[in-house]
Amino acid sequence: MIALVLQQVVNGITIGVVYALIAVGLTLVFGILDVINFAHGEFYMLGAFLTYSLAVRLGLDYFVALGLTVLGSAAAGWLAERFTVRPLEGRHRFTVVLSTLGLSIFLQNGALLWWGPDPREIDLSWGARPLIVGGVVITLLRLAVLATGVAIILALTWFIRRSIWGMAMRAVAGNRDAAALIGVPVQRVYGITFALGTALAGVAGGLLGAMFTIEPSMGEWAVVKAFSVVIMGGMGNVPGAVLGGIVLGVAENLGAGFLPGGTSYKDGIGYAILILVLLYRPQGLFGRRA
Amino acid sequence: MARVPTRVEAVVILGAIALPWVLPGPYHRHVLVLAGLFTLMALGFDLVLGYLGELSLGHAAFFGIGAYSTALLTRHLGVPFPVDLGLAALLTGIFGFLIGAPSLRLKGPYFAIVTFGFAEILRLVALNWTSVTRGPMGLPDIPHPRLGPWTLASELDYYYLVLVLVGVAVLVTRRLLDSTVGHAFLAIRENEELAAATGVPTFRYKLIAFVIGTTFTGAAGSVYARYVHFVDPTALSFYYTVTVVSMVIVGGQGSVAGTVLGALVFTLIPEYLRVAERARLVIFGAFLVLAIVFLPEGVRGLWRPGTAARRERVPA
Repeated sequence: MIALVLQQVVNGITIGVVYALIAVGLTLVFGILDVINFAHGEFYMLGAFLTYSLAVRLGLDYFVALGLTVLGSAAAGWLAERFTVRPLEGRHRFTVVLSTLGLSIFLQNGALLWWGPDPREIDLSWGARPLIVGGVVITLLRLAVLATGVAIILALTWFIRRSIWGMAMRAVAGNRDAAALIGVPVQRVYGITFALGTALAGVAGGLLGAMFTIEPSMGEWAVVKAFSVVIMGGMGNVPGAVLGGIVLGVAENLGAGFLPGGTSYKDGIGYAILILVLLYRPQGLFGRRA
Repeated sequence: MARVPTRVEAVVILGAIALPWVLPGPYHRHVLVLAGLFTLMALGFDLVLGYLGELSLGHAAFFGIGAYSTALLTRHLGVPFPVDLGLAALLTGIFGFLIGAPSLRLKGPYFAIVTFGFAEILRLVALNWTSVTRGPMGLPDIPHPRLGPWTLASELDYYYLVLVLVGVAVLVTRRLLDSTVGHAFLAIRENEELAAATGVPTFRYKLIAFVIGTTFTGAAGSVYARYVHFVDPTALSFYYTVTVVSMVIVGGQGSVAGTVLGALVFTLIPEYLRVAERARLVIFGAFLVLAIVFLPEGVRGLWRPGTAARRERVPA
């Protein structure tokens, strides 16, 4: 029993780290641009297809493909910001919600047209090899996903805390006008933040794409999970989103494993957390009241 | 307060009555029925967005609740026509109250996301509560409404039924906006803190608008279930919410005329894009983005461009 719980927790953490990557991208964009990017899940989907195309179709090494996916997703995000977010600057914030929804419809159906509805797989020969630690089984692939996810989160933390662009991002998040006054190029910070957000979603797609099947509709649930995580962590709160991702991953795995009828309502756990947190602690589980 | 319709309004009403005869054939009439149902939904939605400035992303759930209510009432209890419509609207209103009461404590993006969450949970319930909803198989054989000796069956019958409902919804909206309640709505939209400070019970008024809006949407769902004889969990899909949000924002929020216009545009475009087959939704998505970027005041702003006052309708 304890081994079983431990197994679900380990599985949950692996998935949770990837949820965290998606959610951090969403929360960054919200915190700095004050935009809810409803197309965020589609960048996750595009990332998965890009990794698939590079690793399976072109036969590149999986990790090389992942690296290229980061670049490709960032470029796609930069373009998206340029054409669907920036023109709406100064307009009512709901207009951005709708333009990102339009972008989401466009990308999802574009992917359906381009790649077709059949699920794809990234089959890595080394991935299925199991490692057993103290009665808990973890495949080499899951271990690699976990390690990559943690490495990206550490690198991102460094970027936000220490790099010049990270400082600029924090300055814009804190006070946009003051940042602009001291010469922070606000528009470029917006572009970079958006690109960073979609790059995180894209690499998350590449990572989960190796564990599950890839299909054009996969972005739908990703964006919803990311919402729950972002809300749990407090909107705009990066460490909160990381923790929230892991909490959601573990909660889902334990819920599916142990609740009656758990598997059919597994995706509902995210929504339930989302609603409860919003109603009782809108500043997030880990945030302070503003 | 009975008001004599203006000349423009008279033309619009007569035009709406004549429309199915100008565009004959079952297909065009079918599209008109859909446009009417979407108009009804959009009017309910605009009460919350256009007049209170809050974006609800859970509207599809209320459409679904209306549709499932009618399906269950007619299939199991044999409830006759106008009664099931009334009950469906009432039930949807109760759900609107239950969901609105906690959600409306939140604002802006938080309200948008929590309503989305509620809607998705209800969709999962419709999908998984198979003993009642039959899950993805849906509920078939919903009878056509019978009214005395007549059975409403053709597209034309449904068109006029929907037209009557849209008319009622427009009248209710107008009356509401002309009343103290409506003035409170505007006060809340322009400056909620100020309204609250001057003694307007903002939360109560928001809830009233939300519940009325959901009953319109529930009525649309009820008629939809009758019209297509069938309801399944896709009636609660986010696609309907997106369509309605598009209609209201692109049509021009906070105006009955803009909403009706938006509803027409966003029913006709996806329908007629069916010729594009698989590229249909790709084009639709691109169209949506372009419409928002290039039509800052909605479709309505096209022939009355540049009035700054209208831009101020919803506070940024």
